Amino acid sequence: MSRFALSLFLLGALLLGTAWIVESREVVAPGATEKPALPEAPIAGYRAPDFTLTTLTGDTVRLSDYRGQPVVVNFWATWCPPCRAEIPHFQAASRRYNGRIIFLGVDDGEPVATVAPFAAKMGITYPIPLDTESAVSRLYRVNSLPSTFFIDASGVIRHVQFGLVTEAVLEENVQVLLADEGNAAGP
Amino acid sequence: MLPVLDLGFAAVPTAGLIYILGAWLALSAVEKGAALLKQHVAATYTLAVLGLAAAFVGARAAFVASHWEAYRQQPLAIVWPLTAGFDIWAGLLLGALAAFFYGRARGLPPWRTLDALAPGLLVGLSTLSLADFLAGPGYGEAADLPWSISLFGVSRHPVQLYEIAFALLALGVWRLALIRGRDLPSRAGVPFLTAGAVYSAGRLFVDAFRDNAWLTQGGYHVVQIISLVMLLACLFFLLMRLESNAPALHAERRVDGAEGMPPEMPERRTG
Repeated sequence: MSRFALSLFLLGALLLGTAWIVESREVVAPGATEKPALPEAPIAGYRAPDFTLTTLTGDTVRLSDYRGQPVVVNFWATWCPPCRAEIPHFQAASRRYNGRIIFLGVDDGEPVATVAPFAAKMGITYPIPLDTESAVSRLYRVNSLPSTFFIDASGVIRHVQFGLVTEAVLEENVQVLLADEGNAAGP
Repeated sequence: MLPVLDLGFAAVPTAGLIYILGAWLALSAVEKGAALLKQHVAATYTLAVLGLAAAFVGARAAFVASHWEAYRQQPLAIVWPLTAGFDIWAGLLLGALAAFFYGRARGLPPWRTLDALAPGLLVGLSTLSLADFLAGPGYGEAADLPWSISLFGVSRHPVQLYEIAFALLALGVWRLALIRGRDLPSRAGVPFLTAGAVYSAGRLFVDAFRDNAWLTQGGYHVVQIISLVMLLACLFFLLMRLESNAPALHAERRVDGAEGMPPEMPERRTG
Protein backbone atom coordinates (compact mmCIF):
# COMPACT_ATOMS: atom_id res chain seq x y z
CA MET A 1 0.00 0.00 0.00
CA SER A 2 1.43 3.39 -0.97
CA ARG A 3 2.04 6.20 1.44
CA PHE A 4 -0.73 8.28 -0.12
CA ALA A 5 -3.22 5.43 0.14
CA LEU A 6 -2.27 4.81 3.75
CA SER A 7 -2.62 8.53 4.56
CA LEU A 8 -6.10 8.49 3.06
CA PHE A 9 -6.86 5.35 5.03
CA LEU A 10 -5.66 7.05 8.23
CA LEU A 11 -7.89 10.05 7.58
CA GLY A 12 -10.81 7.80 6.69
CA ALA A 13 -10.34 5.76 9.86
CA LEU A 14 -10.32 8.94 11.94
CA LEU A 15 -13.52 10.25 10.37
CA LEU A 16 -15.40 6.96 10.25
CA GLY A 17 -14.24 5.94 13.73
CA THR A 18 -15.32 9.23 15.24
CA ALA A 19 -18.67 9.05 13.45
CA TRP A 20 -19.21 5.50 14.73
CA ILE A 21 -18.39 6.53 18.32
CA VAL A 22 -20.87 9.41 18.12
CA GLU A 23 -23.47 7.08 16.56
CA SER A 24 -22.94 4.52 19.36
CA ARG A 25 -23.26 7.09 22.11
CA GLU A 26 -25.73 6.13 24.79
CA VAL A 27 -27.81 8.99 26.03
CA VAL A 28 -28.33 8.54 29.73
CA ALA A 29 -31.20 10.36 31.37
CA PRO A 30 -30.03 12.73 34.12
CA GLY A 31 -29.68 10.88 37.41
CA ALA A 32 -30.28 7.44 35.88
CA THR A 33 -27.53 4.85 35.81
CA GLU A 34 -29.54 1.69 35.32
CA LYS A 35 -31.21 0.62 32.12
CA PRO A 36 -34.78 -0.54 32.50
CA ALA A 37 -34.06 -3.70 30.47
CA LEU A 38 -31.27 -4.89 32.78
CA PRO A 39 -32.09 -8.55 33.41
CA GLU A 40 -32.13 -10.40 36.69
CA ALA A 41 -29.36 -12.96 37.09
CA PRO A 42 -27.03 -14.05 39.90
CA ILE A 43 -24.00 -12.68 38.04
CA ALA A 44 -21.97 -9.50 38.38
CA GLY A 45 -23.36 -6.79 36.14
CA TYR A 46 -26.95 -8.03 36.36
CA ARG A 47 -29.85 -7.07 38.61
CA ALA A 48 -29.88 -9.22 41.74
CA PRO A 49 -32.82 -11.68 41.71
CA ASP A 50 -35.40 -10.71 44.29
CA PHE A 51 -36.30 -13.03 47.15
CA THR A 52 -38.39 -13.06 50.30
CA LEU A 53 -37.37 -15.07 53.37
CA THR A 54 -38.13 -15.23 57.07
CA THR A 55 -35.31 -14.38 59.42
CA LEU A 56 -34.20 -16.12 62.57
CA THR A 57 -36.13 -13.57 64.60
CA GLY A 58 -39.34 -14.13 62.60
CA ASP A 59 -39.17 -10.97 60.51
CA THR A 60 -39.79 -11.06 56.76
CA VAL A 61 -36.93 -9.88 54.58
CA ARG A 62 -37.41 -8.90 50.93
CA LEU A 63 -34.29 -7.95 49.00
CA SER A 64 -36.01 -5.33 46.83
CA ASP A 65 -37.13 -3.49 49.98
CA TYR A 66 -33.51 -2.46 50.46
CA ARG A 67 -33.29 -0.77 47.04
CA GLY A 68 -31.44 2.50 47.50
CA GLN A 69 -28.95 0.94 49.90
CA PRO A 70 -26.00 -1.37 49.13
CA VAL A 71 -26.58 -4.96 50.29
CA VAL A 72 -24.11 -7.75 51.01
CA VAL A 73 -25.77 -11.18 50.77
CA ASN A 74 -23.69 -13.95 52.29
CA PHE A 75 -24.79 -17.58 51.80
CA TRP A 76 -23.52 -19.78 54.60
CA ALA A 77 -24.24 -22.78 56.83
CA THR A 78 -23.21 -23.76 60.35
CA TRP A 79 -21.36 -26.91 59.18
CA CYS A 80 -19.13 -24.91 56.77
CA PRO A 81 -15.70 -24.01 58.31
CA PRO A 82 -14.86 -21.11 55.93
CA CYS A 83 -18.34 -19.69 56.63
CA ARG A 84 -17.59 -19.73 60.35
CA ALA A 85 -14.24 -18.06 59.71
CA GLU A 86 -15.72 -15.12 57.84
CA ILE A 87 -18.68 -14.43 60.15
CA PRO A 88 -16.64 -12.19 62.53
CA HIS A 89 -15.70 -9.99 59.55
CA PHE A 90 -19.34 -9.58 58.54
CA GLN A 91 -20.31 -8.92 62.14
CA ALA A 92 -17.63 -6.23 62.54
CA ALA A 93 -18.51 -4.66 59.18
CA SER A 94 -22.24 -4.64 59.96
CA ARG A 95 -21.48 -2.62 63.08
CA ARG A 96 -18.98 -0.37 61.32
CA TYR A 97 -21.30 0.41 58.39
CA ASN A 98 -24.51 0.33 60.40
CA GLY A 99 -27.22 2.08 58.39
CA ARG A 100 -25.06 2.53 55.31
CA ILE A 101 -24.82 -1.08 54.11
CA ILE A 102 -27.23 -3.95 54.76
CA PHE A 103 -25.70 -7.33 55.60
CA LEU A 104 -27.83 -10.45 55.12
CA GLY A 105 -26.49 -13.84 56.19
CA VAL A 106 -28.69 -16.29 54.28
CA ASP A 107 -28.44 -19.68 55.95
CA ASP A 108 -28.62 -22.45 53.37
CA GLY A 109 -30.89 -25.37 54.16
CA GLU A 110 -30.81 -25.58 57.96
CA PRO A 111 -33.62 -25.41 60.53
CA VAL A 112 -34.01 -22.71 63.16
CA ALA A 113 -33.04 -25.18 65.88
CA THR A 114 -29.58 -25.55 64.34
CA VAL A 115 -28.98 -21.95 63.34
CA ALA A 116 -30.28 -20.10 66.41
CA PRO A 117 -27.82 -21.44 69.02
CA PHE A 118 -24.95 -21.06 66.59
CA ALA A 119 -25.85 -17.44 65.80
CA ALA A 120 -26.15 -16.69 69.52
CA LYS A 121 -22.77 -18.26 70.21
CA MET A 122 -21.13 -16.27 67.39
CA GLY A 123 -22.84 -13.04 68.49
CA ILE A 124 -24.38 -12.36 65.09
CA THR A 125 -26.61 -9.29 65.16
CA TYR A 126 -27.25 -8.76 61.43
CA PRO A 127 -30.37 -10.41 59.91
CA ILE A 128 -30.16 -14.14 59.19
CA PRO A 129 -32.82 -15.12 56.62
CA LEU A 130 -33.45 -18.87 56.66
CA ASP A 131 -33.42 -20.51 53.25
CA THR A 132 -34.63 -23.83 54.65
CA GLU A 133 -35.64 -25.26 51.25
CA SER A 134 -32.49 -23.87 49.54
CA ALA A 135 -34.76 -22.18 46.98
CA VAL A 136 -32.86 -18.88 47.12
CA SER A 137 -29.53 -20.72 46.94
CA ARG A 138 -30.74 -22.37 43.74
CA LEU A 139 -32.01 -19.01 42.43
CA TYR A 140 -28.52 -17.57 43.03
CA ARG A 141 -26.85 -20.71 41.65
CA VAL A 142 -24.84 -21.15 44.81
CA ASN A 143 -22.72 -24.23 44.15
CA SER A 144 -20.39 -23.86 47.07
CA LEU A 145 -20.45 -22.28 50.50
CA PRO A 146 -19.66 -19.62 51.39
CA SER A 147 -20.69 -17.43 48.44
CA THR A 148 -21.15 -13.69 48.80
CA PHE A 149 -22.93 -11.23 46.52
CA PHE A 150 -22.11 -7.53 46.71
CA ILE A 151 -25.15 -5.60 45.46
CA ASP A 152 -25.10 -1.86 44.85
CA ALA A 153 -27.79 0.66 45.79
CA SER A 154 -29.49 0.28 42.39
CA GLY A 155 -29.84 -3.47 42.90
CA VAL A 156 -27.06 -4.50 40.49
CA ILE A 157 -24.60 -7.19 41.55
CA ARG A 158 -21.12 -5.66 41.52
CA HIS A 159 -19.09 -8.65 42.61
CA VAL A 160 -19.57 -12.30 43.47
CA GLN A 161 -17.08 -13.93 45.80
CA PHE A 162 -16.95 -17.70 45.76
CA GLY A 163 -15.23 -19.00 48.87
CA LEU A 164 -13.90 -17.25 51.93
CA VAL A 165 -14.29 -13.49 52.24
CA THR A 166 -11.34 -12.13 54.14
CA GLU A 167 -11.52 -8.84 55.97
CA ALA A 168 -9.55 -7.21 53.16
CA VAL A 169 -11.76 -8.59 50.39
CA LEU A 170 -14.84 -7.51 52.31
CA GLU A 171 -13.46 -4.04 52.86
CA GLU A 172 -12.41 -3.50 49.24
CA ASN A 173 -15.82 -4.55 47.92
CA VAL A 174 -17.68 -2.52 50.53
CA GLN A 175 -15.67 0.52 49.46
CA VAL A 176 -16.69 -0.07 45.84
CA LEU A 177 -20.36 -0.26 46.90
CA LEU A 178 -20.06 2.92 48.93
CA ALA A 179 -18.35 4.71 46.05
CA ASP A 180 -21.18 3.64 43.72
CA GLU A 181 -23.85 4.61 46.21
CA GLY A 182 -23.71 8.29 45.38
CA ASN A 183 -24.24 7.62 41.66
CA ALA A 184 -26.82 4.87 41.85
CA ALA A 185 -30.49 5.56 41.51
CA GLY A 186 -33.38 3.54 42.84
CA PRO A 187 -36.14 2.15 40.64
CA MET B 1 -23.10 -18.93 30.61
CA LEU B 2 -20.99 -21.08 32.84
CA PRO B 3 -19.66 -18.98 35.74
CA VAL B 4 -18.77 -22.01 37.85
CA LEU B 5 -17.61 -25.49 36.93
CA ASP B 6 -19.31 -27.86 39.32
CA LEU B 7 -16.93 -30.78 39.79
CA GLY B 8 -19.03 -32.40 42.49
CA PHE B 9 -16.42 -32.14 45.23
CA ALA B 10 -15.61 -28.51 44.40
CA ALA B 11 -16.96 -25.53 42.47
CA VAL B 12 -14.28 -23.87 40.35
CA PRO B 13 -14.79 -20.35 38.92
CA THR B 14 -14.62 -20.75 35.13
CA ALA B 15 -13.00 -17.37 34.49
CA GLY B 16 -9.95 -18.26 36.60
CA LEU B 17 -9.43 -21.49 34.68
CA ILE B 18 -9.70 -19.68 31.35
CA TYR B 19 -7.21 -17.02 32.45
CA ILE B 20 -4.67 -19.73 33.30
CA LEU B 21 -5.33 -21.54 30.02
CA GLY B 22 -5.15 -18.22 28.17
CA ALA B 23 -1.77 -17.34 29.68
CA TRP B 24 -0.39 -20.72 28.61
CA LEU B 25 -1.83 -20.44 25.08
CA ALA B 26 -0.59 -16.85 24.72
CA LEU B 27 2.94 -17.81 25.76
CA SER B 28 2.87 -20.76 23.35
CA ALA B 29 1.76 -18.39 20.58
CA VAL B 30 4.67 -16.04 21.39
CA GLU B 31 7.07 -18.97 21.21
CA LYS B 32 5.70 -20.03 17.82
CA GLY B 33 5.68 -16.42 16.56
CA ALA B 34 9.32 -15.93 17.54
CA ALA B 35 10.30 -19.17 15.80
CA LEU B 36 8.42 -18.18 12.63
CA LEU B 37 10.19 -14.83 12.66
CA LYS B 38 13.57 -16.48 13.26
CA GLN B 39 13.95 -14.44 16.44
CA HIS B 40 15.69 -15.58 19.59
CA VAL B 41 12.92 -17.81 20.93
CA ALA B 42 14.13 -18.14 24.53
CA ALA B 43 14.70 -14.39 24.96
CA THR B 44 11.34 -13.47 23.41
CA TYR B 45 9.56 -16.08 25.54
CA THR B 46 11.29 -14.82 28.68
CA LEU B 47 10.27 -11.27 27.81
CA ALA B 48 6.63 -12.39 27.51
CA VAL B 49 6.74 -14.34 30.79
CA LEU B 50 8.39 -11.41 32.57
CA GLY B 51 5.85 -8.96 31.18
CA LEU B 52 2.96 -11.19 32.23
CA ALA B 53 4.37 -11.77 35.71
CA ALA B 54 5.12 -8.06 36.22
CA ALA B 55 1.60 -7.17 35.06
CA PHE B 56 0.04 -9.66 37.49
CA VAL B 57 2.17 -8.72 40.48
CA GLY B 58 2.01 -5.01 39.62
CA ALA B 59 -1.78 -5.03 39.30
CA ARG B 60 -2.13 -6.72 42.69
CA ALA B 61 0.51 -4.54 44.38
CA ALA B 62 -1.06 -1.35 43.07
CA PHE B 63 -4.49 -2.44 44.31
CA VAL B 64 -3.13 -3.42 47.73
CA ALA B 65 -1.27 -0.09 47.99
CA SER B 66 -4.44 1.85 47.19
CA HIS B 67 -6.44 -0.16 49.78
CA TRP B 68 -3.65 -0.49 52.31
CA GLU B 69 -5.88 0.11 55.33
CA ALA B 70 -7.87 -3.01 54.45
CA TYR B 71 -4.79 -5.19 53.99
CA ARG B 72 -2.70 -3.83 56.89
CA GLN B 73 -4.67 -5.83 59.44
CA GLN B 74 -4.40 -9.02 57.41
CA PRO B 75 -1.18 -9.24 55.37
CA LEU B 76 -1.89 -12.81 54.25
CA ALA B 77 -4.86 -11.50 52.28
CA ILE B 78 -2.38 -9.79 49.95
CA VAL B 79 -1.47 -13.15 48.44
CA TRP B 80 -4.72 -15.08 48.93
CA PRO B 81 -7.46 -15.17 47.73
CA LEU B 82 -6.68 -13.67 44.35
CA THR B 83 -10.17 -13.81 42.87
CA ALA B 84 -10.55 -10.04 43.05
CA GLY B 85 -8.52 -6.92 43.73
CA PHE B 86 -6.38 -5.93 40.75
CA ASP B 87 -5.54 -2.52 39.30
CA ILE B 88 -5.63 -3.36 35.58
CA TRP B 89 -4.08 -0.10 34.33
CA ALA B 90 -1.16 -0.24 36.75
CA GLY B 91 -0.64 -3.89 35.75
CA LEU B 92 -0.56 -3.03 32.05
CA LEU B 93 1.90 -0.22 32.64
CA LEU B 94 4.25 -2.27 34.81
CA GLY B 95 4.06 -5.27 32.47
CA ALA B 96 4.94 -3.11 29.47
CA LEU B 97 7.80 -1.44 31.36
CA ALA B 98 9.26 -4.78 32.49
CA ALA B 99 9.09 -6.16 28.94
CA PHE B 100 10.60 -2.98 27.51
CA PHE B 101 13.58 -2.91 29.86
CA TYR B 102 14.23 -6.64 29.49
CA GLY B 103 14.11 -6.30 25.71
CA ARG B 104 16.56 -3.41 25.82
CA ALA B 105 18.90 -5.27 28.15
CA ARG B 106 18.91 -8.28 25.82
CA GLY B 107 19.25 -6.12 22.71
CA LEU B 108 16.09 -7.51 21.12
CA PRO B 109 15.03 -5.65 17.93
CA PRO B 110 11.89 -3.73 19.00
CA TRP B 111 9.74 -4.07 15.89
CA ARG B 112 10.52 -7.71 15.27
CA THR B 113 9.90 -8.47 18.96
CA LEU B 114 6.50 -6.79 18.72
CA ASP B 115 5.81 -8.90 15.62
CA ALA B 116 6.62 -12.02 17.62
CA LEU B 117 4.47 -10.90 20.57
CA ALA B 118 1.43 -10.05 18.44
CA PRO B 119 -0.07 -13.58 18.24
CA GLY B 120 0.35 -13.97 22.00
CA LEU B 121 -1.42 -10.67 22.63
CA LEU B 122 -4.27 -11.62 20.30
CA VAL B 123 -4.65 -15.07 21.84
CA GLY B 124 -4.57 -13.51 25.32
CA LEU B 125 -7.24 -10.95 24.40
CA SER B 126 -9.37 -13.74 22.90
CA THR B 127 -9.28 -15.72 26.11
CA LEU B 128 -10.27 -12.61 28.08
CA SER B 129 -13.28 -12.31 25.78
CA LEU B 130 -14.04 -16.01 26.21
CA ALA B 131 -13.86 -15.71 30.01
CA ASP B 132 -16.19 -12.73 29.84
CA PHE B 133 -18.55 -14.70 27.58
CA LEU B 134 -18.71 -17.69 29.90
CA ALA B 135 -18.46 -16.09 33.31
CA GLY B 136 -18.08 -12.35 33.06
CA PRO B 137 -20.40 -9.43 33.57
CA GLY B 138 -20.50 -8.36 29.90
CA TYR B 139 -23.45 -8.89 27.60
CA GLY B 140 -24.70 -7.61 24.26
CA GLU B 141 -27.68 -5.53 23.29
CA ALA B 142 -31.00 -7.27 22.82
CA ALA B 143 -31.21 -8.52 19.23
CA ASP B 144 -33.31 -11.12 17.49
CA LEU B 145 -30.75 -12.51 15.06
CA PRO B 146 -30.06 -16.08 13.92
CA TRP B 147 -26.79 -16.04 15.85
CA SER B 148 -28.16 -14.30 18.97
CA ILE B 149 -27.66 -16.03 22.29
CA SER B 150 -30.31 -16.29 24.96
CA LEU B 151 -29.29 -14.86 28.31
CA PHE B 152 -31.86 -15.31 31.03
CA GLY B 153 -34.70 -15.27 28.54
CA VAL B 154 -33.47 -12.36 26.38
CA SER B 155 -31.86 -12.86 22.93
CA ARG B 156 -28.69 -10.80 22.71
CA HIS B 157 -25.67 -10.02 20.53
CA PRO B 158 -22.82 -12.37 21.47
CA VAL B 159 -20.40 -9.42 21.65
CA GLN B 160 -17.55 -11.42 23.15
CA LEU B 161 -17.73 -13.88 20.24
CA TYR B 162 -17.52 -10.93 17.83
CA GLU B 163 -14.38 -9.83 19.66
CA ILE B 164 -12.89 -13.31 19.33
CA ALA B 165 -13.76 -13.33 15.60
CA PHE B 166 -11.88 -10.07 15.09
CA ALA B 167 -8.90 -11.40 17.06
CA LEU B 168 -8.81 -14.44 14.77
CA LEU B 169 -9.08 -12.18 11.72
CA ALA B 170 -6.18 -10.08 13.04
CA LEU B 171 -4.21 -13.28 13.59
CA GLY B 172 -4.82 -14.20 9.95
CA VAL B 173 -3.70 -10.76 8.81
CA TRP B 174 -0.58 -11.07 10.97
CA ARG B 175 0.22 -14.41 9.31
CA LEU B 176 -0.27 -12.95 5.83
CA ALA B 177 1.96 -9.98 6.60
CA LEU B 178 4.54 -12.39 7.93
CA ILE B 179 4.52 -14.53 4.80
CA ARG B 180 5.07 -11.41 2.74
CA GLY B 181 7.87 -9.84 4.69
CA ARG B 182 9.35 -12.23 7.23
CA ASP B 183 12.90 -11.94 5.89
CA LEU B 184 12.74 -8.26 5.00
CA PRO B 185 14.03 -5.94 7.74
CA SER B 186 12.22 -3.01 6.12
CA ARG B 187 8.93 -4.74 6.89
CA ALA B 188 9.70 -5.33 10.56
CA GLY B 189 6.76 -4.12 12.61
CA VAL B 190 4.30 -4.37 9.71
CA PRO B 191 2.70 -7.65 10.92
CA PHE B 192 2.23 -6.24 14.44
CA LEU B 193 0.86 -2.92 13.24
CA THR B 194 -1.54 -4.37 10.65
CA ALA B 195 -2.85 -6.97 13.11
CA GLY B 196 -3.18 -4.24 15.76
CA ALA B 197 -5.10 -2.03 13.31
CA VAL B 198 -7.50 -4.84 12.37
CA TYR B 199 -8.16 -5.80 16.00
CA SER B 200 -8.60 -2.18 17.11
CA ALA B 201 -11.01 -1.52 14.24
CA GLY B 202 -12.94 -4.63 15.25
CA ARG B 203 -13.25 -3.59 18.89
CA LEU B 204 -14.24 -0.09 17.79
CA PHE B 205 -17.02 -1.63 15.72
CA VAL B 206 -18.37 -4.32 18.05
CA ASP B 207 -18.34 -2.37 21.31
CA ALA B 208 -21.35 -0.49 19.95
CA PHE B 209 -23.33 -3.72 20.47
CA ARG B 210 -22.35 -4.10 24.13
CA ASP B 211 -25.25 -3.34 26.43
CA ASN B 212 -23.35 -2.67 29.64
CA ALA B 213 -20.41 -0.86 28.12
CA TRP B 214 -18.06 1.30 30.15
CA LEU B 215 -19.22 4.85 29.37
CA THR B 216 -17.84 8.35 29.76
CA GLN B 217 -19.91 11.01 31.48
CA GLY B 218 -21.28 12.00 28.10
CA GLY B 219 -22.38 8.46 27.24
CA TYR B 220 -19.50 7.61 24.85
CA HIS B 221 -18.05 4.09 24.92
CA VAL B 222 -14.60 4.21 26.56
CA VAL B 223 -13.44 1.04 24.76
CA GLN B 224 -14.36 2.61 21.43
CA ILE B 225 -12.31 5.71 22.19
CA ILE B 226 -9.31 3.60 23.25
CA SER B 227 -9.73 1.43 20.14
CA LEU B 228 -9.83 4.45 17.83
CA VAL B 229 -6.64 5.84 19.42
CA MET B 230 -4.97 2.42 19.01
CA LEU B 231 -6.16 2.15 15.39
CA LEU B 232 -4.84 5.59 14.50
CA ALA B 233 -1.55 4.89 16.29
CA CYS B 234 -1.11 1.61 14.38
CA LEU B 235 -1.86 3.30 11.04
CA PHE B 236 0.39 6.25 11.86
CA PHE B 237 3.34 4.04 12.74
CA LEU B 238 2.65 1.92 9.67
CA LEU B 239 2.87 5.08 7.60
CA MET B 240 6.10 6.08 9.33
CA ARG B 241 7.58 2.61 8.80
CA LEU B 242 6.73 2.68 5.11
CA GLU B 243 8.07 6.20 4.69
CA SER B 244 11.35 5.60 6.48
CA ASN B 245 11.87 2.34 4.60
CA ALA B 246 10.68 3.53 1.20
CA PRO B 247 14.07 3.09 -0.57
CA ALA B 248 14.51 -0.41 0.84
CA LEU B 249 10.93 -1.32 -0.10
CA HIS B 250 11.48 -0.14 -3.68
CA ALA B 251 14.64 -2.21 -3.87
CA GLU B 252 12.78 -5.23 -2.49
CA ARG B 253 9.96 -4.77 -4.98
CA ARG B 254 12.47 -4.65 -7.84
CA VAL B 255 14.10 -7.82 -6.61
CA ASP B 256 10.67 -9.42 -6.06
CA GLY B 257 9.71 -8.56 -9.65
CA ALA B 258 13.00 -9.70 -11.16
CA GLU B 259 13.67 -12.83 -9.21
CA GLY B 260 10.25 -13.72 -7.88
CA MET B 261 11.91 -14.41 -4.51
CA PRO B 262 12.68 -12.03 -1.63
CA PRO B 263 16.36 -11.34 -0.96
CA GLU B 264 18.06 -13.06 1.95
CA MET B 265 18.27 -10.36 4.60
CA PRO B 266 17.84 -12.12 7.92
CA GLU B 267 17.25 -10.06 11.03
CA ARG B 268 20.06 -9.99 13.55
CA ARG B 269 19.59 -12.68 16.12
CA THR B 270 20.45 -11.92 19.68
CA GLY B 271 21.12 -13.72 22.88
